[in-house]
Amino acid sequence: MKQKKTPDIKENTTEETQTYSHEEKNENPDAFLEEELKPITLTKEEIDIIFEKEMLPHINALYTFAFRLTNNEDDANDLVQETYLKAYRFFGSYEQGTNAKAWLYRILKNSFINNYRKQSKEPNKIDYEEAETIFHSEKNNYNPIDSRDKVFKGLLGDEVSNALMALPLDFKTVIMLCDIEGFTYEEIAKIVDTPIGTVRSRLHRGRKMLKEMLAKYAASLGYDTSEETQNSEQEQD
Amino acid sequence: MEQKDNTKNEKQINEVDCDEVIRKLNMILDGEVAKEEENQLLHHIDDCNNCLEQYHIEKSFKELLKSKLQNLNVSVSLIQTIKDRIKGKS
Ligand SMILES: [Zn+2]
Repeated sequence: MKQKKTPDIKENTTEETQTYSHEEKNENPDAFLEEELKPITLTKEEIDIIFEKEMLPHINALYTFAFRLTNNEDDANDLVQETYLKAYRFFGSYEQGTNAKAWLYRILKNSFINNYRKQSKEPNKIDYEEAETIFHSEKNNYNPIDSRDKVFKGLLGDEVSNALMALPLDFKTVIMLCDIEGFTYEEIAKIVDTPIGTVRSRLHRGRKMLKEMLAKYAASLGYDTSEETQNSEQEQD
Repeated sequence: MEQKDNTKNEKQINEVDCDEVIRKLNMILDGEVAKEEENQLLHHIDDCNNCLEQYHIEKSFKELLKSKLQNLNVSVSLIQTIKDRIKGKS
């Protein structure tokens, strides 16, 4: 399904902020699984055991990742199921002893891209403009906002989660992989299929955007961002 | 990023400047700097109030994300569906 005619807006941020660079090339997102397929000498029982021990324990993390990518429970469920079925089907391309979790994330991320390209349905458009604006306004501004610890203290998990989900795809993806899941840059580069340098810069920019969004949000909620207030810490909940 | 300055010798290597530290703060916190370099950078951070403050800001932000963004729980039925579908394959 081709888009009408996308004007040539190749310059500046389009590639980086809106889509996985991957998306433009018309690649088969499962190609890496097929390519890396090796003959299996294990029996089905053995595979099932490894699968249960090494793959299934990551299901909550994968579901969370899927949910934050799609912002929809059903889509997240489908994505997780698809990921596990592919992992099982292409079990021969999993190199035993390597990071099973990273491998599963890579499958999930590729499936996600594939699904959304097919349906040309774009999740999380919300606040995209805001994120863009923030990005453009922060250029070389060194630490432009008050992002000290206490500014964010009052924020609830859902509020942080919503802000994260509102970030452009490329940015929230690396933040989730690095800050929540603790993957190395190298693992992230493989999962999102970009050079390590790109991972690093997306992390840098993504965190800045997120910080700005959260600081603004905290301020709008009346969480005190000014210097005073040492006493009354909001300690409910 | 690349410095043309080859005159740096071992004595000067300890004199990491603030720009470099700030540029690498995230990498330090993400555990992406080699041990030896990390020690040099941390050494600077210890002695430099400005860098130390930035370091703490970045560090607490990272910790905030980790602590506020908890994993969700997948439904039991999804786990069962996956197991059933896999069992069915041969
Ligand atoms: Zn300094």
